[in-house]
Amino acid sequence: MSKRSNEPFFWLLFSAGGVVSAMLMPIYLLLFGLLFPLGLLEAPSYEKLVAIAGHPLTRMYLLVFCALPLFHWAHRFRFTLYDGLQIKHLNELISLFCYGGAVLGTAVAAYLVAKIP
Amino acid sequence: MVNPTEYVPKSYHPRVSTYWWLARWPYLKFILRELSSVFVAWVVILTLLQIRALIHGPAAYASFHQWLQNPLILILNAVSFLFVMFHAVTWFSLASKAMAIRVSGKRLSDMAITGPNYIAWVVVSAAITWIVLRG
Amino acid sequence: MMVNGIPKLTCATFLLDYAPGPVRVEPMKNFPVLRDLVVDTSDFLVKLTKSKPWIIRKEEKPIEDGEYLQTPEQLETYKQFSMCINCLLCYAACPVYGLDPLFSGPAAIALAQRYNMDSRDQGAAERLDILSQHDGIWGCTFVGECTQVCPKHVDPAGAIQQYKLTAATEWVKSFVLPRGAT
Repeated sequence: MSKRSNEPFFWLLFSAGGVVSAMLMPIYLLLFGLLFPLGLLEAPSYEKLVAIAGHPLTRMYLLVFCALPLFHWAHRFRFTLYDGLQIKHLNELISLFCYGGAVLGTAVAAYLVAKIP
Repeated sequence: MVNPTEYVPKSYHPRVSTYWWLARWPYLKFILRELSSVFVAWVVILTLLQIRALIHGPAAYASFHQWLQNPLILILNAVSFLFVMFHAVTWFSLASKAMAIRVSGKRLSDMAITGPNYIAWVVVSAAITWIVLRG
Repeated sequence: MMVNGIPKLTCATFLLDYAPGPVRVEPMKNFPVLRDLVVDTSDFLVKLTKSKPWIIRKEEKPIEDGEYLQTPEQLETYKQFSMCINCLLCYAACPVYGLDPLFSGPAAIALAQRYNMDSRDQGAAERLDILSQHDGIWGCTFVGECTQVCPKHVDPAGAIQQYKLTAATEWVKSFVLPRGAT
């Protein structure tokens, strides 16, 4: 029982991040990355965006939106490095880079979300 | 160590090429799917940059918005959008495989799980659009 | 064997479908080649044994008590995974098996799941102890080619994902439930 790997923890984070990024990212990128900059849709004003972003629910949403997909990337990219570049022997370094990067990104997200006016 | 017989066959262990994923389209499609996670990470970075611009005030946000109109950034975001869509579509079909939900003895078909995922996707996207666009 | 780079049952593959050719026949990928088209599949047998592909009971029912009974619904839950003929086409198709010597591979995990889902079996925890070790099932990245090449439509990829979910649920339970409760 005690020999069972803790891999499920990372797999669950990966799955959660996969759901969040699949459901929420396409529309975000479509609006803010393409339609608004191209002027195909009128972009919301600064004041409106700050009002939306400052709402406590939006803050939580933004934190989840940034944190979970980063762990999704970390897990998937780690295995892509194993199988794509065949560097599984560097697994400690790779894990540190991937999950460490995700933790760092989450910390930055938490800091920024807290500082929204 | 003494061999059990006089002749012990040697075996040939071919090494897997670094480019094994180029050999067949299903493998390439798989690697592209995995690489979509890099674009997912890019969207997070983009979001963080946007939040930072919001924090620094209207002038900072205006220049962020201008930066988004840079052709190189537009192309990056267009490519990211394609990859993120690819991730979403492949994810919905993958997720249904992990769940063997049984209703009164019969296993739910893949469509019965994938379908609601797509519906949720459309509803959530519409809700976000409405929140961002309403007056 | 590999026919034009794809794992196939050559006994059921017709030259007519490849006319006018040429056809390239190679030994099964990801296994050591002994000679010509013969490969050494001992590694699969080692991995399969780890899955304990037999009914495990905490206590055997004595013969006088009769057979273990099973409804058609109970059979249906695992029947698909029981169709495996150990042809190993899935192992030839799986890139992770080719790259990671410790990965259990599609058929071994699908067969473990076949017994886990069998209502007569009580060995799920025992199998999980072995398979949930780092490389047992977690090397799988759901490429999905194993399911594509399987001639018996076992869907090993689906079995592995279900097993991952089971392993993850058990992992969460081990923290939430008091230690010692299985």
